[in-house]
Amino acid sequence: MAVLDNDDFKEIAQYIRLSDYNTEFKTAGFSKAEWKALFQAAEDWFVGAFNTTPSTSFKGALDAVITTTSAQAQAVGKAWMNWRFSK
Amino acid sequence: MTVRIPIINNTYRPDDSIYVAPLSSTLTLTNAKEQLGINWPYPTGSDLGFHVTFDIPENYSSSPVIVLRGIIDGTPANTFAVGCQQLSRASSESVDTAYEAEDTASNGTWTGYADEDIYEISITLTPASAYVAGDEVFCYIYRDDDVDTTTFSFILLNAYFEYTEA
Repeated sequence: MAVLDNDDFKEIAQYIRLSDYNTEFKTAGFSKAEWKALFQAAEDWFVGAFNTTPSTSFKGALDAVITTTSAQAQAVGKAWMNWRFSK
Repeated sequence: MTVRIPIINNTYRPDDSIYVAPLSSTLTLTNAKEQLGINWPYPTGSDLGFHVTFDIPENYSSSPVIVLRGIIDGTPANTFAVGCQQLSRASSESVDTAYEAEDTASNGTWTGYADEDIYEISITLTPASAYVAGDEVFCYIYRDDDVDTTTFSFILLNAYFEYTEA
């Protein structure tokens, strides 16, 4: 699993700004540390899921960072996929 | 008397990721506003801002401040932090000189503020030598990645140089 760096986060932020799910992030009020940790959790969950059956749901992995709504969890997933699959 | 002059001018150059767009295409407004705003995203690993120069007015006396006025684009939470590196040059002085130490300002108290509200923050400048009328001031104004913990964009409407007049 990759450790996301600041260039990764910068790219993810750009994808979010151009998306319709930007609203979910605007209203969430996440701190930057939480925001970064959510995407690291998404990276870990998705990459790990290619090898083993995940021990928790995607939302469960995010909620281990900070409790998210279903819409917020979906937005993190969409943003991660848009970013990761473009690379 | 305190005076403000706008400093966004033809020398304005933003960092990557900062862009200009109509307010209605950025904000979710019921009452359309088609004025342009400078979309200033939260930094994610390095300072993010813009470069500009302005000249010190003839009636300048003291108390230099950079004022940033704009719109909160998102739920205001966590610490919003900005900084300014500046260098003033008089006639016959070289611009090939490093910026002085940064001046900063931040806010983490958002009582009374909400998404899409006007917000203003001021950076008190501490130039090594007092500004003199006619000086050209080179500035890099940025959201300070070391301190800024927000995840909302700031839609900059204008930046001002504020001072006490002679």
